[in-house]
Amino acid sequence: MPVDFSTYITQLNDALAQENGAVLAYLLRPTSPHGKDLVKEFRDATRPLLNRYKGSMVSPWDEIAIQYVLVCTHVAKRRPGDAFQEHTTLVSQFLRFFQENRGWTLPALFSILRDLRDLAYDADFHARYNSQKSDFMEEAARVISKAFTHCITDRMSPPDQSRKWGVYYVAGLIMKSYFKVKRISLSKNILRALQANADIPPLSAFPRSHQVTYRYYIGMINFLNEDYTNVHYTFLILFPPVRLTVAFKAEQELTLAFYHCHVGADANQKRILTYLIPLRILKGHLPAEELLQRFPALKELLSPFISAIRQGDIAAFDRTLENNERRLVELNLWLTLEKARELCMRGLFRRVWIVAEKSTRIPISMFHCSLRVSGIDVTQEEAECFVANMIYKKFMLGYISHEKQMVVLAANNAFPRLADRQAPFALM
Amino acid sequence: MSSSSSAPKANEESKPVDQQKQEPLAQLGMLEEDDEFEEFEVADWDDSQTDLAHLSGGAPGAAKTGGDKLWEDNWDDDDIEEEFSVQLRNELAKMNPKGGATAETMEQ
Repeated sequence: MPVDFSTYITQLNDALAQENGAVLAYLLRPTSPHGKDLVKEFRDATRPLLNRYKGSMVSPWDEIAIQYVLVCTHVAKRRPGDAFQEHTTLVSQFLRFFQENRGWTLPALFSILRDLRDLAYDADFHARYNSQKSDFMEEAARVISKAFTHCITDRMSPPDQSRKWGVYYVAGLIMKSYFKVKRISLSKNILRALQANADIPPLSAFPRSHQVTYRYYIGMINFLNEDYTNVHYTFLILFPPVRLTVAFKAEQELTLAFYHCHVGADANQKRILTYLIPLRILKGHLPAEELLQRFPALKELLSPFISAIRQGDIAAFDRTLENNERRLVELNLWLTLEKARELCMRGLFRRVWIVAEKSTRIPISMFHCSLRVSGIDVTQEEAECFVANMIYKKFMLGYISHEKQMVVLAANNAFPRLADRQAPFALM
Repeated sequence: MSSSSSAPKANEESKPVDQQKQEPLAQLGMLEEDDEFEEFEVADWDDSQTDLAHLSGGAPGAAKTGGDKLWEDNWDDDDIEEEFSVQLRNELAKMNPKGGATAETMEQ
C-alpha cells in the first residue's frame, strides 16, 4: 500500500518516540520506496503547496518532512541541482534537532550526509555536462563540516551515547568530498579539531568501517604531502626529517587501514594497496606473490618494478617507469616509484659484489662496467658518484679511495638488508 | 537518486547487492585515478574478516621474518646463474681476465 503524507508523518513520529536512528535514516532516504509514493501524491510538489503542512509535527520535523518531499520530487524530475539545494536545507533543519539529542541519531545523520554527498556528485556531473558552474561538492563539504562540529562539541551526553561517536565517520566523508574536488588542504581544520579534542574515544574503539576510511584518507593526505614537499627542495635539505615523518605516517596509516579492512571489500583493499605497496617497497618490504595474486590490476602494474628491483635490472626498471608514465602520474605514483630506482641500483651493485666474490676491494671500473651492461651510458666519474651516493645512503657500507679508484667495502654486511636500514624514508 | 541512477556514483552506494556481484570483472581491469574509496556495506566486523586473521602473532606489516607472510623482507639473492648476471660476469671477465682487479691495473 502506498505511503501517503499523513502515514509518513506518523512513521516519523514513531521513529522519534522510539529513538530508532536506523528507521529514521530509512525514512529520510530519497531512494526509499515511500519517496516515490509521496512524489505521486503531490504531483509536482512546490513549497507554497506544502507549506500548509507546517505544524503537522513538532518543529523542526514538520519542515524536514516537507523538505523530504521536495527532495524526492526534484530527484524524480531529474533536477539534481535543485534536489541538492533542498536536501541541504533538510540537513540544516536536521542539525537543529541533532544538536539537542544524543548518539542514537547518528545513523540518520550519516545517512543524510551520505545522500548530500551523492546528490552533490550528481549535481556537479549534471552541471558540468551543461557547462555550468559546478561547486556542489565543496558546498556539501562545508555543510558536512557543520555536522562534524555538532558531533565533536557534545558535552552533555553520557560517554556511551555521545554524538562524538560520529566524528570519524563524518571526518571521512569530509575528506572524501574534498579529495573529489582536489581541495585536500581544506581538510586541515577538521583534522586539527580532532587532535585538539582530548576526550574523543580512541580510534580503535570506533566501528571498523570508520577506522579504515579515516586511516585511508590520513594516509593519503600524508602520501600526497610527501610528493608536494619535493617541490620545496631547499626546505627539504634544511629539514629532511619532515619527509621522513610524512612518508612514515602514510605508511603506518595505510598499513593499519589495510589490515583492518574487510577482506570482502576488494575495491577498497586494492585502493589502499595501490599506495601502500610502493611505500613498503621503499622500506625493502616486497609484496609476497600471494598478496599480488589477490589483486590482478596491482600485479600487472607493480610486478615489473618488483622483479627489476629483485634482479637489480635498471634498464627494465627504467623501461617500466617510462612505459607507464602517464598512468603512474595520474595515480600520483610516479615520484614514489622513481625513488625506488635507487633500490634497483643497489641491487645491481650488490650483483657486482657477488660476481667479485664478495671482495672487500672492488675497482670503481667494475661498477662502471655493470652500469654499461645495464644500458646506462655514463662516465667513470659519474659511476663513482653513484657509488658515493649509495654509500651515503647506507645502501652499501664502505668508502671510496678516489686516488686508487677503489671501493673499499665492509668485511661484514657490506650490503645490509634493505628492511634493516634505519629510517628508510629519511634519505630517499 | 533512484531515478538519477544513470550517474555513475549513485549506483555504488544505493544498490550494493546487485552491483557487487559484477565487481570481480571490473577488478581485473583497471586502476582508475577517479576511483573512490567506497562506502562499506556493514559498519563493523571482527578480526576473522580481515587480513589480521592471517598474521601468526606478528604485527601488521611486519613481513615474513616478523610473522607476516604477505611481505618479504629477506629477498636478496646470491644466485647469479640467470641471464642478466651471467652477462654482467662475462663483461667483467673480459675487462679483468684474472678476475681480481688490482689498483695498478685500474690506474693505467
